[in-house]
Amino acid sequence: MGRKVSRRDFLKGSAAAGATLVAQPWSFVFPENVLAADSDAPVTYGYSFCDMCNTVPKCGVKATIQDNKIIKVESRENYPNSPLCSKGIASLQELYDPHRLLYPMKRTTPKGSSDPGWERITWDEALKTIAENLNKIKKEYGAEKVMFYAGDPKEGRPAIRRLAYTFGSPNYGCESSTCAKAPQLTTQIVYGRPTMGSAPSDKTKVCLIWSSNPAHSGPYGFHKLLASKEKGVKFIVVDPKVTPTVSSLADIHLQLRPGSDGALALGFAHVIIRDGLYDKEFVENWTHGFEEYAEYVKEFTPEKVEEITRVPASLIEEAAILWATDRPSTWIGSACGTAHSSNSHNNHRAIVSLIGLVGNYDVEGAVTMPTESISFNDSATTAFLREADLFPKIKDKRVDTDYFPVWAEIENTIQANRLVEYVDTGAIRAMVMVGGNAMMWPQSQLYQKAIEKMDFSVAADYYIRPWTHNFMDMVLPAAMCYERMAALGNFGRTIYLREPIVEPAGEARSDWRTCFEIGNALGFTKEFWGGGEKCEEEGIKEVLRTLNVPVTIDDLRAHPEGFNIPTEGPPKFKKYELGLLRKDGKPGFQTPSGKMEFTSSLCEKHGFDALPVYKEPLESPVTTPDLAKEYPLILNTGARLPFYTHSKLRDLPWLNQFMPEPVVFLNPKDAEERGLKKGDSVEISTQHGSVIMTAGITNIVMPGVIDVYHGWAKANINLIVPRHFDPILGFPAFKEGLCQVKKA
Amino acid sequence: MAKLAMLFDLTKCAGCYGCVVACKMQNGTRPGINYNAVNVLEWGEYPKANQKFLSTLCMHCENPACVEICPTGASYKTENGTVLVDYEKCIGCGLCVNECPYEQRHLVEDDITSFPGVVAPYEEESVKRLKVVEKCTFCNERISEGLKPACVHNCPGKCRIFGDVEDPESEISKYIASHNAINIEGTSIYYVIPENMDRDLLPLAAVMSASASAKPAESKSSVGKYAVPAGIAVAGVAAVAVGVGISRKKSSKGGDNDNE
Repeated sequence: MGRKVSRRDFLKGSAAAGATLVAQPWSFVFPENVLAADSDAPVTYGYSFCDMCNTVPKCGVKATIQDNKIIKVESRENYPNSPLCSKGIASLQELYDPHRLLYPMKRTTPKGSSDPGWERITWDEALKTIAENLNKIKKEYGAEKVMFYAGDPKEGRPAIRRLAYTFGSPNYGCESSTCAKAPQLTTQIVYGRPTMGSAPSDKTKVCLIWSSNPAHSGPYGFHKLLASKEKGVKFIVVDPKVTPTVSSLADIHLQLRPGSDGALALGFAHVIIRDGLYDKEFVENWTHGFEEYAEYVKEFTPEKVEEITRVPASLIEEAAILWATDRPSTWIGSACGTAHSSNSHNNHRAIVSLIGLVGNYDVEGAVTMPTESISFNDSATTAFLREADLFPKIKDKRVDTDYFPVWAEIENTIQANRLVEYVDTGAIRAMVMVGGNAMMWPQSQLYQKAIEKMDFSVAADYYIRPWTHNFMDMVLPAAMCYERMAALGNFGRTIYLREPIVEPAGEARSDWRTCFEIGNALGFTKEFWGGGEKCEEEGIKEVLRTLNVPVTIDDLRAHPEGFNIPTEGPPKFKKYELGLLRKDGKPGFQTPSGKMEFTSSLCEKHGFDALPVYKEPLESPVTTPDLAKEYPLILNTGARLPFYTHSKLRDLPWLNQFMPEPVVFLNPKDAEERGLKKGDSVEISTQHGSVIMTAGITNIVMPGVIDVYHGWAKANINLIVPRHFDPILGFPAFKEGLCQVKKA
Repeated sequence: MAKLAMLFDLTKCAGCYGCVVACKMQNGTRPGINYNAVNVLEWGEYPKANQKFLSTLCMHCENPACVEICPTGASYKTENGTVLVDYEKCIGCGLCVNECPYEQRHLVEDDITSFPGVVAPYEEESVKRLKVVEKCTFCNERISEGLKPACVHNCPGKCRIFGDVEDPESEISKYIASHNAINIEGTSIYYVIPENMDRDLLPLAAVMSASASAKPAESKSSVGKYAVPAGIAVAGVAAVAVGVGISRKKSSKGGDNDNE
């Protein structure tokens, strides 16, 4: 260490000599350079990117390092995603959290015991046990019986997916099948390519943010939206809540009843078509099913839509006309807001149809597609993932095809939300998981049981998370972002290599290395570079080798500020006219009809509505009025908080101070009717059960709706949500159940 | 002579708490001590509800009551306008804590760390501060190296602006002029607030616009205790837990937007 007196010694001393210290405070000169005040160790700086939330790519971190320890972190300048938010700064506290998992652990009691009896084992034993179990299941039942799953953070995805396909299982899934795949697959179904929207550019006049709160879900980009507003971009924000995005940006706020998004979008279309404001040239030449769509939206008059959504008809008119006339206008979609509905796909399809309707697709300043994109796929490449060579040979063994045929036809990762059924039918018997928490699923206790029922399951994580891991056989310690290399950070045509800047804590390993070591232990030595300390770097080299641009790891090392690969020409727009959106190079879209689809050929093929038909939530005051008498409030869960990510980060003191206990937010009217005051302990009940939370009372929540954050181990709201799935793509209805709140 | 100041643009702040955590990290403050806070403000009812976030920290007063009352000279005002504490001289008597009208001083009473029994690398320096009073220094160690305070550098909304208000070319001076910022009289703190927000929600009794054209300060108590509600500093955090606005005393003109 090179220090004469360690500060830990000092602290021990100070605690013992507390009485002396009162009279004679510790001598301390301030201000001085506190970092190097009495240490011989030099201060250096390291650069990394954060992994605390679910955004990809991540925000840049500059770390101050001394004695192989990070003593400070701050926003990395000149990095695409910056500044860091509260979670990013608190990554330092997670790095040195004494509760982190540092060694492989195996359970020593039978499944079902209240205490798993975790016992430390060596990595060698862990890998040997995993390989024996997986190979046994493969031999007896088939490789497809093993599910591979990536939770959050997402950086482990490419490695575990490569592992799945190499092992012979097509059943790799990730947490995006609960959320972000909704906008991605829906836009793919309508336009042939996935998109979650585009931020405003200099040409943009209007920005429509639909059920998203980027102020909290992507703080690093919020200043850019604020700057767009200062430059004159008009914002329409759709949200049941008066979020900071609404209060900072919205020129028009459409405050709708949760779950009624589809009706609102169809109301937009009604106004736009009624007034002849749609892009006739685009509609005529590049779209499919417009006449049926135009006929269908006739019934969605602003007055009717007001009745359904609670948004005033005059505001619907105003917003629709602004969206259609002040072009180019762009759209920013949500990874979850519209996904979490029993009519998720059709609601979302109604929303994204508005882009093409007014000719806002791939027009400069509107929703654009990249012109010359680097062939990254899930932060790696299709070749690296073995998606092109191995997956097609095994895809008929995927477990989700019968449940979600539309999904299975266009998406190679599986829809994992039916895990309970997959296990109950014996289709899945084991699981390898990186990150992940069973709390993320509706009626999560069923998923705990499903995991427990498996022949074998293992997870890698930063912590032992009892809610999930106590039902598993083994947990492996994962290295944090500062301790690991992969994956790459890629922003358009700029790539960042992350090198570890401190040694991993204990025996923690990166998810990439863990997956490669498992692959190696399973006998795929060549495919996983023999495991070992260097295998992660070999993996990165393989990704780079199979990209469509020439770049090596040495290039990246030589450019810590980001390696930029220039484009051959300026960005092109209206690429559907240029034959740049289809695999065959012909003009049009990569859809069955070759056009943007107002009526979906794919949905129709599988027996679903071709039109984006609006259906009421399966539970709602309209659909189930009797249920609504007993449970009159709409249970809206999962809206983002700026300081927690799903079930994570609850135990970091820097963050926990902002919401130490689970809170349910109610409108003052609803609180008053129930005699509730802020801080009261309240019971939230549904027909599926109840949880206890603390009441928060706020006008930013609509009357008749309650707002609950998810992921509290002590009050998991997902225990009591309905287990409804959108029939087409399978997203859970986290934002539309019915409930009651009363004093506990 | 420089006069360092900080501006908060409430029209942009999204209440992400990045500033609070950046400050804790930079200063290694102990559990329960935050040099800055984010207070939730609400006014109006559905469908016209409003919510904003009010950042508070040491106001770096022009004539700081804390400096005046300090019996040892530990609290002092520097030439650049910041108010600092010399921990060598501080005896932890706590007089300044009571005197500060904005409740922005913190007596470090307990020898505790973030995780009980553990001193994390980010706390190794700060654990030396015990039985002393500490507070926001505008990140003196950073600004002396030409860097921005941690809360400013790490603000995702870029709604905090720091600099020298004596320099008309500084970013903060220009922002004050172009955004009609409000100066909390007698302090180094400026706010830009939404048009429909009542000024009385600010931590002040007397406000004056920094731009000459704005209307003059309303006559309110400008001495002694300001109209800062008791507990505003801690309310910032506590209020977040239940998502309610800070409480405040009735303004002289009697508002209808009490946030109790």
